[in-house]
Amino acid sequence: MPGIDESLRHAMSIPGVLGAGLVDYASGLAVGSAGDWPCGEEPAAAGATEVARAALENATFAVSAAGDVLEDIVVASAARYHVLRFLNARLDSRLFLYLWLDREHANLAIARHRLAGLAADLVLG
Amino acid sequence: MATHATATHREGLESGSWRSVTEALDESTANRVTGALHVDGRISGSIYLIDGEVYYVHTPVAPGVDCLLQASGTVPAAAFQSAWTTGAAAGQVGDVLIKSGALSRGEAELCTAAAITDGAYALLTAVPVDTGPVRFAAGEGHWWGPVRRIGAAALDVQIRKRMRLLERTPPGNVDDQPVVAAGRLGRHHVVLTDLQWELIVHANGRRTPRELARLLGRSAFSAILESRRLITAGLIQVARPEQASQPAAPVPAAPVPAAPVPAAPVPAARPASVPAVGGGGTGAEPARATEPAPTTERASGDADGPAEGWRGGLRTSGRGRRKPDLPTRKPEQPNRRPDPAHPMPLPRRQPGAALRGVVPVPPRAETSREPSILDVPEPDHSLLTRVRNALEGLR
Repeated sequence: MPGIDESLRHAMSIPGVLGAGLVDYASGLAVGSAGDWPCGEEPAAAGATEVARAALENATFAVSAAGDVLEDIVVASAARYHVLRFLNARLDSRLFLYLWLDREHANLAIARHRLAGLAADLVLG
Repeated sequence: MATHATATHREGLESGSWRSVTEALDESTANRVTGALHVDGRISGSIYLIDGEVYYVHTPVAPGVDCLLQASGTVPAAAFQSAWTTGAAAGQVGDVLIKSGALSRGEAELCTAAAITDGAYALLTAVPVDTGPVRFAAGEGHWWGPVRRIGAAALDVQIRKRMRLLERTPPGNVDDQPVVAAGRLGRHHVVLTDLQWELIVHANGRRTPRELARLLGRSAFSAILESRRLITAGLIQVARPEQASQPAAPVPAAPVPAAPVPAAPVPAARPASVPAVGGGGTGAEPARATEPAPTTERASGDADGPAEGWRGGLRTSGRGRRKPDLPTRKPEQPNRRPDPAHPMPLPRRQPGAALRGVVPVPPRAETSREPSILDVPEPDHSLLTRVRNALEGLR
Protein backbone atom coordinates (compact mmCIF):
# COMPACT_ATOMS: atom_id res chain seq x y z
CA MET A 1 0.00 0.00 0.00
CA PRO A 2 1.56 3.23 -1.09
CA GLY A 3 1.82 6.29 1.06
CA ILE A 4 0.97 9.83 0.03
CA ASP A 5 4.15 10.65 -1.85
CA GLU A 6 4.28 7.32 -3.60
CA SER A 7 0.64 7.64 -4.68
CA LEU A 8 1.37 11.01 -6.19
CA ARG A 9 4.38 9.58 -8.01
CA HIS A 10 2.10 6.89 -9.42
CA ALA A 11 -0.35 9.58 -10.44
CA MET A 12 2.40 11.28 -12.41
CA SER A 13 2.67 8.18 -14.59
CA ILE A 14 -0.90 8.56 -15.84
CA PRO A 15 -0.81 9.46 -19.55
CA GLY A 16 -1.06 13.17 -20.20
CA VAL A 17 -0.69 14.21 -16.59
CA LEU A 18 0.84 17.58 -15.83
CA GLY A 19 0.47 17.64 -12.09
CA ALA A 20 -1.09 15.82 -9.19
CA GLY A 21 -1.88 16.76 -5.66
CA LEU A 22 -3.69 15.73 -2.54
CA VAL A 23 -5.84 18.54 -1.21
CA ASP A 24 -7.53 18.92 2.14
CA TYR A 25 -10.77 20.67 1.31
CA ALA A 26 -11.53 21.44 4.93
CA SER A 27 -8.68 23.91 4.90
CA GLY A 28 -8.04 24.32 1.19
CA LEU A 29 -4.43 23.31 1.65
CA ALA A 30 -2.37 20.82 -0.31
CA VAL A 31 -1.14 17.90 1.76
CA GLY A 32 1.20 16.75 -0.97
CA SER A 33 1.94 17.47 -4.59
CA ALA A 34 3.91 16.36 -7.63
CA GLY A 35 4.53 17.95 -11.01
CA ASP A 36 3.13 21.33 -11.93
CA TRP A 37 0.02 23.12 -10.76
CA PRO A 38 -2.07 25.36 -12.97
CA CYS A 39 -1.31 28.54 -11.05
CA GLY A 40 0.98 27.56 -8.23
CA GLU A 41 0.21 25.10 -5.52
CA GLU A 42 -1.49 27.30 -3.01
CA PRO A 43 -3.94 29.15 -5.29
CA ALA A 44 -4.70 25.99 -7.23
CA ALA A 45 -5.47 24.02 -4.07
CA ALA A 46 -7.67 26.84 -2.83
CA GLY A 47 -9.45 27.13 -6.18
CA ALA A 48 -10.02 23.42 -6.51
CA THR A 49 -11.34 23.40 -2.96
CA GLU A 50 -13.95 25.98 -3.84
CA VAL A 51 -15.15 23.83 -6.72
CA ALA A 52 -15.23 20.75 -4.50
CA ARG A 53 -17.15 22.50 -1.76
CA ALA A 54 -19.57 24.02 -4.21
CA ALA A 55 -20.45 20.56 -5.46
CA LEU A 56 -20.51 18.95 -2.04
CA GLU A 57 -22.70 21.58 -0.47
CA ASN A 58 -25.08 21.93 -3.37
CA ALA A 59 -28.35 20.11 -3.06
CA THR A 60 -28.40 19.43 -6.81
CA PHE A 61 -25.34 17.22 -6.56
CA ALA A 62 -26.18 15.79 -3.19
CA VAL A 63 -26.71 12.11 -2.89
CA SER A 64 -29.85 10.98 -4.64
CA ALA A 65 -29.84 7.28 -3.90
CA ALA A 66 -28.88 5.25 -0.88
CA GLY A 67 -25.19 4.37 -0.88
CA ASP A 68 -24.50 6.97 -3.51
CA VAL A 69 -21.55 9.28 -2.95
CA LEU A 70 -19.95 12.04 -4.89
CA GLU A 71 -16.94 10.42 -6.53
CA ASP A 72 -15.25 12.90 -8.76
CA ILE A 73 -15.56 16.21 -10.50
CA VAL A 74 -14.28 16.75 -14.03
CA VAL A 75 -13.67 20.22 -15.34
CA ALA A 76 -12.66 20.40 -18.98
CA SER A 77 -11.18 23.36 -20.76
CA ALA A 78 -10.15 23.42 -24.39
CA ALA A 79 -6.61 22.37 -23.55
CA ARG A 80 -6.79 20.77 -20.12
CA TYR A 81 -8.68 18.38 -17.91
CA HIS A 82 -8.96 18.84 -14.18
CA VAL A 83 -10.12 15.79 -12.27
CA LEU A 84 -10.95 15.95 -8.58
CA ARG A 85 -11.36 12.56 -6.95
CA PHE A 86 -12.78 12.42 -3.44
CA LEU A 87 -11.24 10.03 -0.96
CA ASN A 88 -13.25 7.75 1.23
CA ALA A 89 -13.84 9.69 4.42
CA ARG A 90 -12.99 6.97 6.87
CA LEU A 91 -10.73 9.24 8.81
CA ASP A 92 -11.29 12.88 9.41
CA SER A 93 -10.08 13.14 5.87
CA ARG A 94 -11.90 15.62 3.76
CA LEU A 95 -9.52 15.09 0.92
CA PHE A 96 -9.48 14.83 -2.81
CA LEU A 97 -6.83 13.83 -5.29
CA TYR A 98 -6.37 16.49 -7.87
CA LEU A 99 -5.13 15.63 -11.34
CA TRP A 100 -4.25 18.16 -14.00
CA LEU A 101 -3.96 16.79 -17.53
CA ASP A 102 -3.08 17.84 -21.01
CA ARG A 103 -6.09 17.03 -23.19
CA GLU A 104 -3.98 16.29 -26.20
CA HIS A 105 -2.21 13.39 -24.54
CA ALA A 106 -4.70 12.34 -21.92
CA ASN A 107 -7.53 9.85 -22.01
CA LEU A 108 -10.15 10.95 -19.54
CA ALA A 109 -11.51 7.46 -18.96
CA ILE A 110 -8.08 6.04 -18.24
CA ALA A 111 -7.20 8.96 -16.01
CA ARG A 112 -10.38 8.56 -13.98
CA HIS A 113 -9.88 4.83 -13.73
CA ARG A 114 -6.29 5.14 -12.57
CA LEU A 115 -7.19 7.89 -10.15
CA ALA A 116 -9.96 5.77 -8.65
CA GLY A 117 -7.45 3.01 -8.04
CA LEU A 118 -5.02 5.37 -6.39
CA ALA A 119 -7.74 6.80 -4.18
CA ALA A 120 -8.82 3.33 -3.12
CA ASP A 121 -5.25 2.34 -2.24
CA LEU A 122 -4.63 5.48 -0.27
CA VAL A 123 -7.55 5.06 2.08
CA LEU A 124 -9.02 1.71 2.96
CA GLY A 125 -12.70 1.50 2.29
CA MET B 1 30.76 21.88 12.31
CA ALA B 2 28.35 19.37 13.65
CA THR B 3 30.00 19.58 17.01
CA HIS B 4 29.56 23.28 17.02
CA ALA B 5 25.92 22.95 16.15
CA THR B 6 25.42 20.51 18.95
CA ALA B 7 27.16 22.81 21.35
CA THR B 8 24.86 25.64 20.37
CA HIS B 9 21.91 23.44 20.93
CA ARG B 10 23.17 22.46 24.32
CA GLU B 11 23.38 26.09 25.22
CA GLY B 12 19.66 26.35 24.76
CA LEU B 13 19.28 23.25 26.79
CA GLU B 14 21.54 24.35 29.57
CA SER B 15 20.11 27.80 29.83
CA GLY B 16 17.05 25.89 31.00
CA SER B 17 14.73 26.81 28.24
CA TRP B 18 14.00 28.72 25.13
CA ARG B 19 11.84 31.75 25.24
CA SER B 20 9.35 30.49 22.71
CA VAL B 21 8.35 27.25 21.09
CA THR B 22 9.13 28.65 17.66
CA GLU B 23 12.64 29.53 18.72
CA ALA B 24 13.20 26.08 20.19
CA LEU B 25 11.86 24.38 17.08
CA ASP B 26 13.91 26.53 14.73
CA GLU B 27 17.07 25.77 16.61
CA SER B 28 16.30 22.07 16.85
CA THR B 29 15.61 21.95 13.14
CA ALA B 30 18.78 23.79 12.26
CA ASN B 31 20.79 21.37 14.35
CA ARG B 32 18.93 18.33 13.00
CA VAL B 33 18.37 16.97 16.46
CA THR B 34 16.57 13.81 17.46
CA GLY B 35 14.55 13.95 20.61
CA ALA B 36 11.62 15.74 22.16
CA LEU B 37 10.86 19.35 22.93
CA HIS B 38 8.65 19.60 25.99
CA VAL B 39 6.51 22.65 26.38
CA ASP B 40 5.08 23.46 29.77
CA GLY B 41 2.49 26.00 30.66
CA ARG B 42 -1.21 26.47 30.22
CA ILE B 43 -0.85 25.18 26.67
CA SER B 44 1.48 22.25 27.07
CA GLY B 45 2.74 19.53 24.79
CA SER B 46 5.70 17.81 23.24
CA ILE B 47 7.20 17.98 19.78
CA TYR B 48 9.09 14.88 18.67
CA LEU B 49 11.84 15.16 16.12
CA ILE B 50 14.05 12.93 14.06
CA ASP B 51 16.98 14.61 12.34
CA GLY B 52 15.35 17.95 12.88
CA GLU B 53 12.07 16.91 11.28
CA VAL B 54 8.85 16.71 13.25
CA TYR B 55 7.24 13.29 13.30
CA TYR B 56 4.76 13.73 16.11
CA VAL B 57 3.25 16.41 18.28
CA HIS B 58 1.47 15.54 21.44
CA THR B 59 -0.67 18.10 23.21
CA PRO B 60 -3.82 17.92 25.32
CA VAL B 61 -5.32 20.78 23.30
CA ALA B 62 -5.56 18.79 20.07
CA PRO B 63 -6.65 15.21 19.45
CA GLY B 64 -3.78 12.80 18.90
CA VAL B 65 -3.68 9.90 16.45
CA ASP B 66 -5.17 7.61 19.08
CA CYS B 67 -8.23 9.82 19.35
CA LEU B 68 -8.49 10.51 15.60
CA LEU B 69 -8.32 6.84 14.71
CA GLN B 70 -10.59 5.47 17.41
CA ALA B 71 -13.24 8.12 17.78
CA SER B 72 -13.76 8.08 14.02
CA GLY B 73 -14.15 4.32 14.15
CA THR B 74 -11.27 3.83 11.74
CA VAL B 75 -9.37 1.54 14.06
CA PRO B 76 -11.29 -0.45 16.66
CA ALA B 77 -10.07 0.00 20.20
CA ALA B 78 -9.01 -3.63 20.43
CA ALA B 79 -6.81 -3.35 17.35
CA PHE B 80 -5.29 -0.18 18.65
CA GLN B 81 -4.63 -1.74 22.01
CA SER B 82 -2.94 -4.73 20.54
CA ALA B 83 -0.80 -2.55 18.29
CA TRP B 84 0.11 -0.44 21.25
CA THR B 85 1.06 -3.49 23.23
CA THR B 86 3.26 -4.74 20.42
CA GLY B 87 4.85 -1.55 19.26
CA ALA B 88 4.80 1.05 21.98
CA ALA B 89 8.04 0.07 23.63
CA ALA B 90 9.89 0.23 20.35
CA GLY B 91 8.07 3.38 19.30
CA GLN B 92 6.45 1.73 16.29
CA VAL B 93 2.74 1.63 16.97
CA GLY B 94 2.02 3.32 13.64
CA ASP B 95 4.02 0.77 11.68
CA VAL B 96 2.46 -2.11 13.59
CA LEU B 97 -1.01 -0.86 12.71
CA ILE B 98 -0.07 -0.55 9.04
CA LYS B 99 1.45 -4.02 8.95
CA SER B 100 -1.57 -5.49 10.69
CA GLY B 101 -3.76 -4.21 7.89
CA ALA B 102 -5.92 -2.11 10.19
CA LEU B 103 -4.73 1.01 8.48
CA SER B 104 -3.35 1.77 5.05
CA ARG B 105 -0.06 3.59 4.84
CA GLY B 106 -1.83 6.51 3.26
CA GLU B 107 -4.28 6.73 6.13
CA ALA B 108 -1.54 6.47 8.70
CA GLU B 109 0.40 9.23 6.99
CA LEU B 110 -2.66 11.44 6.68
CA CYS B 111 -3.61 10.88 10.26
CA THR B 112 -0.08 11.58 11.43
CA ALA B 113 0.13 14.72 9.36
CA ALA B 114 -3.20 15.87 10.76
CA ALA B 115 -2.10 15.27 14.34
CA ILE B 116 1.23 16.99 13.77
CA THR B 117 -0.26 20.05 12.12
CA ASP B 118 -3.07 20.29 14.61
CA GLY B 119 -0.82 19.99 17.64
CA ALA B 120 1.87 22.22 16.19
CA TYR B 121 -0.74 24.84 15.43
CA ALA B 122 -1.81 24.86 19.06
CA LEU B 123 1.73 25.00 20.40
CA LEU B 124 3.27 27.40 17.91
CA THR B 125 0.44 29.90 17.79
CA ALA B 126 -0.11 30.05 21.54
CA VAL B 127 0.75 33.39 23.02
CA PRO B 128 4.06 33.12 24.90
CA VAL B 129 2.27 33.71 28.17
CA ASP B 130 0.46 30.44 27.69
CA THR B 131 3.52 28.37 26.98
CA GLY B 132 6.14 28.15 29.64
CA PRO B 133 9.72 27.08 29.27
CA VAL B 134 10.65 24.68 26.51
CA ARG B 135 13.16 22.00 27.31
CA PHE B 136 14.83 19.43 25.12
CA ALA B 137 15.15 15.75 25.92
CA ALA B 138 17.70 14.21 23.58
CA GLY B 139 16.81 10.86 22.09
CA GLU B 140 13.35 10.72 23.57
CA GLY B 141 10.78 9.23 21.24
CA HIS B 142 7.05 8.85 20.91
CA TRP B 143 5.19 5.56 20.84
CA TRP B 144 3.55 6.32 17.51
CA GLY B 145 6.85 6.35 15.66
CA PRO B 146 7.97 8.19 12.56
CA VAL B 147 5.19 7.43 10.09
CA ARG B 148 5.46 10.75 8.34
CA ARG B 149 7.88 13.58 8.93
CA ILE B 150 7.24 17.22 8.31
CA GLY B 151 10.04 19.75 8.11
CA ALA B 152 9.71 22.84 10.24
CA ALA B 153 9.49 25.07 7.17
CA ALA B 154 6.59 23.11 5.70
CA LEU B 155 4.94 23.05 9.09
CA ASP B 156 5.30 26.78 9.34
CA VAL B 157 3.64 27.25 5.96
CA GLN B 158 0.73 25.03 6.97
CA ILE B 159 0.28 26.86 10.25
CA ARG B 160 0.37 30.28 8.63
CA LYS B 161 -2.24 29.23 6.10
CA ARG B 162 -4.46 27.94 8.85
CA MET B 163 -4.00 31.08 10.87
CA ARG B 164 -4.98 33.20 7.90
CA LEU B 165 -8.01 31.05 7.26
CA LEU B 166 -9.15 31.21 10.86
CA GLU B 167 -8.45 34.91 11.15
CA ARG B 168 -10.75 35.73 8.30
CA THR B 169 -13.50 33.41 9.50
CA PRO B 170 -15.95 35.29 11.69
CA PRO B 171 -16.91 35.50 14.49
CA GLY B 172 -13.37 35.28 15.80
CA ASN B 173 -12.12 33.25 18.70
CA VAL B 174 -14.99 31.46 20.42
CA ASP B 175 -13.15 28.17 20.28
CA ASP B 176 -13.17 27.62 24.01
CA GLN B 177 -16.70 28.69 24.67
CA PRO B 178 -19.56 26.23 24.88
CA VAL B 179 -21.81 26.19 21.85
CA VAL B 180 -25.39 25.14 21.43
CA ALA B 181 -27.52 24.42 18.40
CA ALA B 182 -29.82 27.23 17.42
CA GLY B 183 -33.45 26.68 18.27
CA ARG B 184 -34.89 28.35 15.22
CA LEU B 185 -33.15 29.01 11.97
CA GLY B 186 -35.20 31.76 10.44
CA ARG B 187 -34.82 30.30 6.99
CA HIS B 188 -36.27 27.53 4.96
CA HIS B 189 -33.44 25.12 4.47
CA VAL B 190 -29.79 24.42 5.05
CA VAL B 191 -27.26 22.11 3.48
CA LEU B 192 -24.76 20.55 5.84
CA THR B 193 -21.52 18.67 5.48
CA ASP B 194 -20.96 15.61 7.61
CA LEU B 195 -18.75 17.44 10.07
CA GLN B 196 -21.22 20.29 10.37
CA TRP B 197 -23.96 17.81 11.12
CA GLU B 198 -21.88 16.13 13.80
CA LEU B 199 -21.01 19.44 15.39
CA ILE B 200 -24.63 20.58 15.50
CA VAL B 201 -25.86 17.31 16.90
CA HIS B 202 -23.30 17.38 19.68
CA ALA B 203 -23.39 21.10 20.45
CA ASN B 204 -25.29 20.78 23.67
CA GLY B 205 -24.44 24.07 25.30
CA ARG B 206 -21.70 22.59 27.41
CA ARG B 207 -19.08 21.53 24.92
CA THR B 208 -16.70 23.94 23.28
CA PRO B 209 -15.62 23.50 19.66
CA ARG B 210 -12.27 22.24 20.87
CA GLU B 211 -13.93 19.62 23.04
CA LEU B 212 -16.22 18.64 20.20
CA ALA B 213 -13.17 17.92 18.09
CA ARG B 214 -11.94 15.45 20.63
CA LEU B 215 -15.33 13.88 21.10
CA LEU B 216 -15.80 13.39 17.37
CA GLY B 217 -12.23 12.42 16.58
CA ARG B 218 -11.89 15.38 14.25
CA SER B 219 -8.95 17.68 14.03
CA ALA B 220 -9.22 20.68 16.32
CA PHE B 221 -8.62 22.96 13.38
CA SER B 222 -11.45 21.64 11.24
CA ALA B 223 -13.86 21.50 14.17
CA ILE B 224 -13.03 25.07 15.13
CA LEU B 225 -13.24 26.33 11.58
CA GLU B 226 -16.58 24.66 10.92
CA SER B 227 -17.94 25.79 14.28
CA ARG B 228 -17.15 29.37 13.38
CA ARG B 229 -18.84 28.95 10.04
CA LEU B 230 -21.88 27.43 11.72
CA ILE B 231 -22.06 30.28 14.20
CA THR B 232 -21.87 32.78 11.37
CA ALA B 233 -24.60 30.89 9.56
CA GLY B 234 -26.73 30.99 12.69
CA LEU B 235 -26.94 27.23 13.08
CA ILE B 236 -25.15 27.10 16.39
CA GLN B 237 -24.50 29.84 18.89
CA VAL B 238 -22.27 30.50 21.84
CA ALA B 239 -24.06 29.34 24.93
CA ARG B 240 -24.42 31.70 27.84
CA PRO B 241 -21.49 33.96 27.24
CA GLU B 242 -21.43 35.18 30.82
CA GLN B 243 -20.38 31.70 31.87
CA ALA B 244 -18.10 31.11 28.99
CA SER B 245 -16.10 34.20 29.76
CA GLN B 246 -14.79 32.61 32.90
CA PRO B 247 -11.08 32.15 32.73
CA ALA B 248 -11.48 28.43 33.06
CA ALA B 249 -8.72 26.56 31.38
CA PRO B 250 -9.89 25.74 27.89
CA VAL B 251 -7.63 22.78 27.83
CA PRO B 252 -9.68 19.65 28.08
CA ALA B 253 -8.68 16.66 30.05
CA ALA B 254 -5.29 15.27 29.36
CA PRO B 255 -5.47 12.34 27.00
CA VAL B 256 -5.39 9.36 29.20
CA PRO B 257 -6.75 5.98 28.32
CA ALA B 258 -10.45 5.76 28.77
CA ALA B 259 -10.51 2.05 28.98
CA PRO B 260 -8.15 -0.32 30.56
CA VAL B 261 -5.17 -0.93 28.41
CA PRO B 262 -3.89 -4.43 28.82
CA ALA B 263 -0.98 -4.44 31.13
CA ALA B 264 1.50 -5.55 28.61
CA PRO B 265 5.04 -6.12 29.51
CA VAL B 266 6.60 -2.74 29.20
CA PRO B 267 10.33 -2.87 29.14
CA ALA B 268 12.50 -0.12 30.45
CA ALA B 269 11.97 1.89 27.34
CA ARG B 270 8.76 3.79 27.69
CA PRO B 271 6.46 5.23 25.14
CA ALA B 272 5.46 8.78 25.63
CA SER B 273 1.91 9.29 26.70
CA VAL B 274 -0.33 6.34 26.67
CA PRO B 275 -2.85 6.52 23.87
CA ALA B 276 -6.45 7.05 24.65
CA VAL B 277 -8.01 3.73 23.97
CA GLY B 278 -11.71 4.14 23.57
CA GLY B 279 -13.32 1.17 25.11
CA GLY B 280 -16.83 2.23 24.25
CA GLY B 281 -16.81 2.50 20.51
CA THR B 282 -15.14 -0.63 19.51
CA GLY B 283 -17.46 -1.16 16.60
CA ALA B 284 -16.58 0.00 13.17
CA GLU B 285 -19.44 2.43 13.09
CA PRO B 286 -18.70 5.78 14.55
CA ALA B 287 -21.07 5.48 17.45
CA ARG B 288 -20.33 8.90 18.70
CA ALA B 289 -23.54 9.57 20.43
CA THR B 290 -23.17 6.62 22.69
CA GLU B 291 -19.46 6.59 22.96
CA PRO B 292 -17.97 8.34 25.92
CA ALA B 293 -15.23 10.72 25.06
CA PRO B 294 -12.02 8.79 25.00
CA THR B 295 -10.26 11.26 27.15
CA THR B 296 -12.58 11.97 29.95
CA GLU B 297 -12.83 8.93 32.02
CA ARG B 298 -10.30 8.76 34.71
CA ALA B 299 -10.84 7.35 38.07
CA SER B 300 -10.81 9.69 40.96
CA GLY B 301 -7.79 9.53 43.15
CA ASP B 302 -5.69 9.06 40.10
CA ALA B 303 -3.30 11.79 41.03
CA ASP B 304 -0.73 9.40 42.26
CA GLY B 305 -1.96 6.57 40.16
CA PRO B 306 0.25 6.98 37.15
CA ALA B 307 3.56 6.86 38.92
CA GLU B 308 2.45 4.03 41.09
CA GLY B 309 1.03 2.27 38.11
CA TRP B 310 4.16 2.61 36.16
CA ARG B 311 6.26 0.95 38.68
CA GLY B 312 3.69 -1.76 38.91
CA GLY B 313 3.71 -2.13 35.15
CA LEU B 314 7.42 -2.19 34.94
CA ARG B 315 7.71 -4.95 37.43
CA THR B 316 5.65 -7.27 35.35
CA SER B 317 7.88 -9.37 33.29
CA GLY B 318 5.61 -12.11 32.01
CA ARG B 319 5.35 -11.67 28.27
CA GLY B 320 1.94 -11.36 26.82
CA ARG B 321 0.19 -12.04 30.06
CA ARG B 322 -2.60 -9.88 31.20
CA LYS B 323 -2.14 -10.60 34.79
CA PRO B 324 0.21 -8.00 36.03
CA ASP B 325 0.83 -7.51 39.69
CA LEU B 326 -1.12 -4.36 39.78
CA PRO B 327 -0.88 -1.99 42.62
CA THR B 328 -3.28 -3.28 45.17
CA ARG B 329 -4.20 0.13 46.38
CA LYS B 330 -6.54 0.93 43.53
CA PRO B 331 -9.84 -0.63 44.49
CA GLU B 332 -11.77 1.57 42.09
CA GLN B 333 -10.14 0.05 39.08
CA PRO B 334 -12.39 -2.94 38.53
CA ASN B 335 -15.34 -0.60 38.37
CA ARG B 336 -13.79 1.71 35.93
CA ARG B 337 -15.15 0.29 32.76
CA PRO B 338 -16.71 -3.11 32.53
CA ASP B 339 -15.05 -4.28 29.38
CA PRO B 340 -15.08 -8.03 29.28
CA ALA B 341 -12.40 -8.13 26.63
CA HIS B 342 -9.91 -6.27 28.74
CA PRO B 343 -10.62 -6.92 32.33
CA MET B 344 -7.39 -5.62 33.74
CA PRO B 345 -6.49 -1.99 33.52
CA LEU B 346 -3.01 -0.95 32.62
CA PRO B 347 -1.13 1.25 34.95
CA ARG B 348 -1.30 4.76 33.68
CA ARG B 349 1.48 7.04 32.95
CA GLN B 350 1.88 10.69 32.42
CA PRO B 351 2.24 12.40 29.10
CA GLY B 352 5.79 13.23 28.35
CA ALA B 353 7.46 10.35 30.11
CA ALA B 354 10.54 9.27 28.33
CA LEU B 355 10.55 6.54 25.73
CA ARG B 356 14.25 6.07 25.36
CA GLY B 357 15.39 8.43 27.99
CA VAL B 358 15.91 6.70 31.25
CA VAL B 359 14.45 9.22 33.64
CA PRO B 360 10.71 8.97 33.95
CA VAL B 361 8.89 12.23 34.13
CA PRO B 362 7.20 12.61 37.49
CA PRO B 363 3.45 12.95 37.41
CA ARG B 364 2.31 16.46 36.95
CA ALA B 365 0.42 18.24 39.61
CA GLU B 366 -2.54 19.11 37.43
CA THR B 367 -4.15 15.73 37.61
CA SER B 368 -7.02 16.79 39.80
CA ARG B 369 -9.96 15.95 37.67
CA GLU B 370 -13.32 17.48 37.69
CA PRO B 371 -16.23 15.89 35.98
CA SER B 372 -15.83 16.87 32.39
CA ILE B 373 -18.69 18.14 30.37
CA LEU B 374 -17.92 15.39 27.93
CA ASP B 375 -19.01 12.84 30.44
CA VAL B 376 -22.56 12.84 29.22
CA PRO B 377 -22.57 12.00 25.56
CA GLU B 378 -26.31 11.61 25.42
CA PRO B 379 -27.72 12.92 22.18
CA ASP B 380 -30.44 15.47 22.38
CA HIS B 381 -33.28 13.50 20.86
CA SER B 382 -35.65 16.37 20.50
CA LEU B 383 -32.97 18.30 18.69
CA LEU B 384 -32.21 15.38 16.41
CA THR B 385 -35.84 15.10 15.60
CA ARG B 386 -36.08 18.80 14.83
CA VAL B 387 -33.09 18.71 12.57
CA ARG B 388 -34.39 15.64 10.80
CA ASN B 389 -37.73 17.25 10.25
CA ALA B 390 -36.06 20.37 8.97
CA LEU B 391 -34.00 18.37 6.53
CA GLU B 392 -36.97 16.37 5.38
CA GLY B 393 -38.66 19.65 4.68
CA LEU B 394 -36.02 20.35 2.07
CA ARG B 395 -37.23 17.80 -0.35
